[in-house]
Amino acid sequence: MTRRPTFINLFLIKLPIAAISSISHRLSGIAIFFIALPTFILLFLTDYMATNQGEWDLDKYNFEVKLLISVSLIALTYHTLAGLRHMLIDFSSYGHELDQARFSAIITFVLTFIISIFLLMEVW
Amino acid sequence: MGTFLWYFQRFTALIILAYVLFVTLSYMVKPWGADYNIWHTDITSLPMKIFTTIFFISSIVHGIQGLKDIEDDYFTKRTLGFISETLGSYALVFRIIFRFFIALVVIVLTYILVFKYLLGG
Repeated sequence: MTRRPTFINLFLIKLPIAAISSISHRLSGIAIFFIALPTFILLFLTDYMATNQGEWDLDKYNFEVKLLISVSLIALTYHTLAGLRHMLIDFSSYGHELDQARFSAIITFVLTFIISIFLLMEVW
Repeated sequence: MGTFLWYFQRFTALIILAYVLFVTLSYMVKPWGADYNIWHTDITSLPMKIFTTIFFISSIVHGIQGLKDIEDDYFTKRTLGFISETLGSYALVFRIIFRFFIALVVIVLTYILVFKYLLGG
């Protein structure tokens, strides 16, 4: 008698670090498309952030704008690093083993954390 | 076609990476230390307008490919049906709402890019 799965509770399935890395890659991709890209184009490619005298308008550089830039930078940093990891797996022989995949996923998160701190220090 | 799209997503990723690194390392890290006039003159120069347009098209193409993967994985009768069967029967509605927001972003950003940046800047 074969036991067929009749009930799948997604909250009981433990996610390995590589799966968390993959989901974060997707979430950061959504964040880039809906937050980072509009932020860059609307704020920095138009003259929104400038005064009439042709200087940066510091009144417009408020909390909300800082928050938008911060989210953009974190998402962009993670998406770039995870994307490079993905390219490494696609086009080289590295990352096909479980331990390599785990190690590179951890490295991605650690590098994202470090680079994000440096970038956010510039923003705030 | 599938293999072409697979390579194209990676190719566009490299174009976006080149642009982002160029702009970030030059200005975006510390825009407030730089003079606005320097940024404005540089970003509205003809080479940067061409580079930005290539970057924008690459971003949209790359993004739509990625968002289509998300749509195919999550907004289906099967995946939503895991949560509840009723929700699963509305999978097509979720897909259309998702596509509507993607189209909205693409249309608004294209409008801003063309009329406020390429022609207006």
